[in-house]
Amino acid sequence: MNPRAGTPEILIAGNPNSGKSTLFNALSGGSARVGNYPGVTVDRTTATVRLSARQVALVDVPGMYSLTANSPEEQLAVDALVASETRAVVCVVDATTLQRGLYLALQLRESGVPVVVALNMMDAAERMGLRIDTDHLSESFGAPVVPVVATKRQGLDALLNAVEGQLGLTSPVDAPSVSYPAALEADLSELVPLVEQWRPGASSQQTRAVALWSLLSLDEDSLRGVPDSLRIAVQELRSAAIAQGRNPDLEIIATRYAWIEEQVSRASSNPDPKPSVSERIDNVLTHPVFGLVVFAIVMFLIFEALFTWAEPAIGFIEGLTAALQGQVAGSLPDGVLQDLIVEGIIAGVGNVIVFAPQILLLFLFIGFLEDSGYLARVAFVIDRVMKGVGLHGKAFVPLLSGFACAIPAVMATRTIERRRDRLVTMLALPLMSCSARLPVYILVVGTVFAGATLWWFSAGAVALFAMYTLSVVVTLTAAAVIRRTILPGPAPTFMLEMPPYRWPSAQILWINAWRRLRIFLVDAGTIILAMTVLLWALLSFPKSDEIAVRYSQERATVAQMDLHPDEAARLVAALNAREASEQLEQSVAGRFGHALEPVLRPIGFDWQIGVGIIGAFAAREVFISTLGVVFGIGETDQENKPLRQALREARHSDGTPVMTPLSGVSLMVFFLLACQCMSTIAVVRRESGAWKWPAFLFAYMTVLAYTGSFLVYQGGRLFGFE
Amino acid sequence: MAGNSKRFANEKEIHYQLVMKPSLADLALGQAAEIVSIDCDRSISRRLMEMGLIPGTEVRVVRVAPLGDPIELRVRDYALSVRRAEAARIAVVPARAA
Ligand SMILES: Nc1nc2c(ncn2[C@@H]2O[C@H](COP(=O)(O)OP(=O)(O)OP(=O)(O)O)[C@@H](O)[C@H]2O)c(=O)[nH]1
Ligand SMILES: [Mg+2]
Repeated sequence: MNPRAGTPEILIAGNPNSGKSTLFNALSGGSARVGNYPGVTVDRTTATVRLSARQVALVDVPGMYSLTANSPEEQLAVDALVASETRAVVCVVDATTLQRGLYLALQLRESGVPVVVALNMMDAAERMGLRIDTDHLSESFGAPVVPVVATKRQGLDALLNAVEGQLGLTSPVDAPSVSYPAALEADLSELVPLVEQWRPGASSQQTRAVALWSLLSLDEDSLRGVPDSLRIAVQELRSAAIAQGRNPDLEIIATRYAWIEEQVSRASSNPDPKPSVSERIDNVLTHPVFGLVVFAIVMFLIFEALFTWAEPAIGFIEGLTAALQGQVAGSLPDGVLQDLIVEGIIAGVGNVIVFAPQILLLFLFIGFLEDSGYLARVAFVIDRVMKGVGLHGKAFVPLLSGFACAIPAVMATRTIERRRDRLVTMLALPLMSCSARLPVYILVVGTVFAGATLWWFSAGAVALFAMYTLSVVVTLTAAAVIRRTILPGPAPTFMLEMPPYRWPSAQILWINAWRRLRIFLVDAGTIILAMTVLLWALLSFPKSDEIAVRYSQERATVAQMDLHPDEAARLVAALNAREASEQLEQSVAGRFGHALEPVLRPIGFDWQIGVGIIGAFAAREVFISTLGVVFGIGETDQENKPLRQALREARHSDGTPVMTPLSGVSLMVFFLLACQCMSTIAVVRRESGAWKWPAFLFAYMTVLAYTGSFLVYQGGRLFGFE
Repeated sequence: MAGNSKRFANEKEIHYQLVMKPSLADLALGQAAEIVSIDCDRSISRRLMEMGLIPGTEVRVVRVAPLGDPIELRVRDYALSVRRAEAARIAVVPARAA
């Protein structure tokens, strides 16, 4: 995982929102590389920085309040600490919440690693009237404490000098002397021999720190690589302690905080406290009335951006793809190679890049909300609603974005801290009716409900409205069910820090959005490209020579006829479209569609729609162009009259029409519920870190879609609809 | 919960002390209190404690979400929001009105 094993690594750790990424970017000057921690999909951002005597790698560690771990995700930080490359830790502490930040710094110091405390947000602290004696803190923590303002790049040189000083140390500085209660010390001394077995080479200070960590972390944990003997010993010690009315967790944490309170009371003072601006902003932004109004406006803006602002860029990319396809088709000889390049590769690359505008926009928005502090308020305002279905308040923005497109929405689940909550959200949100489903609804509605009314509404509008309502209901239900069945676990909690409002830096917003996009293009993009080529092959092969020969003869006949050039061109185009249709029918996908027909009949579809559904796996709206080919019409869109006509005239083998209002509704329900989107599969693979989650997603949505359509179609027939 | 307790502050307080342990969820908006004990699941208690909510720490409820839950606390110079379900398991002694 580590690209440059051996380069000394400096971890940048700290509480969430303490300014780690800002500091990281200020120090690295944008030379960052994003990787992944093994097993858990948490980004690992690294950058190489030259100090005066050597080169080091900076690592931006995910935000944390402590080293105590309960899950593999929380274990990352601990693993990073004991990694052999780690030489020092820069602990970023928000000077305005000194005690909580120093709690982590103390834990780091106890573990024996060299620490430099970057006392960040000094500008905000000064505005609040805080005075901090960094010398006193340095001395009591045994670590340099350097005041910095990451956003203004102040104090960075002093910070790097301090880091260099720590790297040059020959013997470790003693950890701060925190004295724990005697009973706890007794517990620790029982754990020490077990820790010594686990970590043979460790110093006595490190051993003690690991014993403390074990006592606080183990028991009912899901950590990897911890020896069972140690875990069992902790369990026994804990139950013995509890039987005596002690609480070891409390003893450890309270002792640390007491020590910190003492240091802070000596080192900092606030002779003239200033009221915070955040309080006043919050009086409006979380007000029962205005708060909800602002919330609605902000959410609407995101929605609008994803739908409308992204549209010109998406149109431009699609236009460019088509132009390039035309260019290449014109300059290469007809044949398989041309098709592969035009319909496989160029189309595939287009399928990937087309998501870029929405991803960039959503991440600029989310970045702004997150860095400004408003995202925490969004979660605060809406958590009550999300709680009902077992989701976290932070799931709201990803779910809402799902109306536009599941791809950026799945990526947006990163803002949710706990992996379990993130998975539930990303497995449910592809059920939100995304914008790619709309062309399919419009085609169906225009085909089967043209001019029909229901009471005094148009039947099509009622059907559309029903689809969107159904999608919300199904999404929330799915989330609740998944939470209780597939991903059960401790009741989700909220527990969210409300950071003060801050004005985000445009540069950092851009860097972060761009990084996200690059990850998508590379990781999910390769999967999407591969699937596009595969799908193209399924829809194109095998090719029938007999059909090709027959149509070239017919074209020759047309050429010999004495026709007006326009008329001849029209005839040739019609022949080409019919040839494509016949070729498609006997391709793998066409045969598969035929083979599926017995399964599709009970939900009201025939093989042609089956082929359309297979083609739509590239992207739902491709359903329409695939149907265009199936019906031998050629180029089509959802408003296309000949396609609607052809759909209306399509007949099952027994002569009954394929597209009726009932089978139309069944088709819409199918598209609403099915995971007809390989890009969703690819992005869920990327964000969940394992193929089993997209496989599960695809399976459950397919079953749901089939069941839904079956109920609609067969139920409708029972009630006498056609 | 919030805001309607001015008149009965005393009666309520007596009720709390005698009948049930008052919790963070019972505090009126703006009221300061001192934590007595935390009785959530271990991982949640531990997280709360590591974020600085320890018996003896002073907290204040500064805000209630528009829909009534969660609530926002002010503790150790920062703001933390928790659901009422957790707040109800954090026992407190209300500080006398300042
Ligand atoms: N006033 C002020 N704001 C800062 C300073 N450093 C960072 N910020 C702001 O604090 C917010 C959070 O900064 P980030 O760098 O994203 O914090 P982080 O620690 O990486 O946060 P997570 O990755 O979410 O844990 C941003 O809005 C920054 O602009 C500073 O020195 N002074
Ligand atoms: Mg960060």
